[in-house]
Amino acid sequence: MAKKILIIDDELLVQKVLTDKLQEQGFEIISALDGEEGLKMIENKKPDLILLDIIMPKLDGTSVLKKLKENPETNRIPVLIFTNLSDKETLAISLKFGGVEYLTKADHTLDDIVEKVKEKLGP
Amino acid sequence: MDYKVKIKSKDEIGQLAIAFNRMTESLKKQNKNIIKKTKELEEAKSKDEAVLASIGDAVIACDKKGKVMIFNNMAEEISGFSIKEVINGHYSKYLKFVIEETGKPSPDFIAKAIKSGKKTKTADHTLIIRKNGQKIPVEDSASPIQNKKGNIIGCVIVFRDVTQRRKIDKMKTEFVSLASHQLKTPLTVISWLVEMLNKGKVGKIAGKQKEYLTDVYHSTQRMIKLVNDLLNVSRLETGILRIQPELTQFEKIIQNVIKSRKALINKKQCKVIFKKPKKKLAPILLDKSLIKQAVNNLLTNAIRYSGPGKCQVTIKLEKRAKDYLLTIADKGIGIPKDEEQYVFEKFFRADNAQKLEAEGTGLGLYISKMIIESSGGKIWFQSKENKGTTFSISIPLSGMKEKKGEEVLVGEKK
Repeated sequence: MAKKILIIDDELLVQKVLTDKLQEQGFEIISALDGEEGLKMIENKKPDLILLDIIMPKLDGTSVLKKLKENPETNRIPVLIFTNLSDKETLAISLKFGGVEYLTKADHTLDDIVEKVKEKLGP
Repeated sequence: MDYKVKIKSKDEIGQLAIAFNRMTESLKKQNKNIIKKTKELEEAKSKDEAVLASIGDAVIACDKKGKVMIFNNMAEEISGFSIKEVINGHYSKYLKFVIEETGKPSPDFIAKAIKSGKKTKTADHTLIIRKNGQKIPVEDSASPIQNKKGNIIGCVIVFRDVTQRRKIDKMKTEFVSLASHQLKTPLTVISWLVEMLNKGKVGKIAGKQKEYLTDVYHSTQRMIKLVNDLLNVSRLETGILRIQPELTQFEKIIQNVIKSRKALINKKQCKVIFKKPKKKLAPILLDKSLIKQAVNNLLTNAIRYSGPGKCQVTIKLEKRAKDYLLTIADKGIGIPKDEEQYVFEKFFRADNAQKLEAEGTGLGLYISKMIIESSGGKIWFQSKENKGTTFSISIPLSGMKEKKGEEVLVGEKK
């Protein structure tokens, strides 16, 4: 069965390109445009991997991460923080929790991202 | 002096009396003159004092021993001390300067001016501690006062409150930072979409189409690089950049930088020679990402500003008595003599460099200098137009200095 990836990002175009690229690679993509919606999807759909933006309306990425880590049913899902911030705070968050890594969008090609996603998902 | 001797006799005593009276007359005149001159002087003095008092900057003068002689209104206002409190006291009792980042006292630039006989300035980010303990950012200078013989007889200190300017600078930097972040998302999307198109999976891309798309891709990458550079500059300028040295093999860093520029080296058909130290260096404290960025900027310039067909860059690393010295020498177009002084300035690009390479932001050397100097090292160059340029970096044997800060540089790939 295809692995399920949840993209939580408030930028429609970012969503669109990533969805197309990852679908092309054979993944199943679900997406949310804000943190609140994202968190609901995490709980209901149990994705295999989450691509998480930080700055978002309603609930930001940091809060989403905290909540999903508090929940024993979701705290093992690997997360790729996916942002254009590259400050201490984001770095600290990604280091604090297990299974969380951090990528700056602008500095990676789509191929880079696919590679990273595959690496995170494992065999 | 109003006393006059009455003269009756014409003998010697009489003559003496005449002389005495003349003398009284002349003394009287002189006395009048003195009173007049004193009045004039007083007027002039009060005029000078009024001028001094009205100067918008704090002006303080002290004698050779540091005793305060002049303390104008602005000095009172900024320092919080009144002239009565400070006059004749030693300046160091009232003028306390600290470095903003560390809170430590800044080097005594006043004593240095008196001792050296040269004008001195405080470092950037200096704060004055007011009488009430409040700290205000100031900018100041001290100039020795010399008499006609050239001896130093004191020192005049001028400083101003830069709170307002700081606020504007901060807003400017925050604006750049915000704008850069906002620019990055659409740029990223363009770059990704082009990547998708170019792969041909959504329809066949032929000949010219592929060429144009590749051009779009490169231009977008250039913009992302510019935005990253701007962000880095704003991070360096606000002093929030973190310097985190760890024990590192210096040679390896340089080899990695050379490797990362492979594409450019091949494109320019450049010969890059790396002369390693005779004895392998023990690991030293370096912030990997920062030193890479600094060296990378120098190497990139050396390659890019070599004339066609004669690109040869020699990188040399050596351990000296007190530091590590890294030199990057090219045989390129060089820096015009009259432009040498601007080379490390933000956005500056030399005329000949612009002619050779249209691309370039003029930020590379500025960033390198900020990185090296804020971590305790030095950076300089020697150049001859049309012969080549050698840039040098020295890092103390103790390595790069650690600095606590919130941010890291952007655009550093794994």
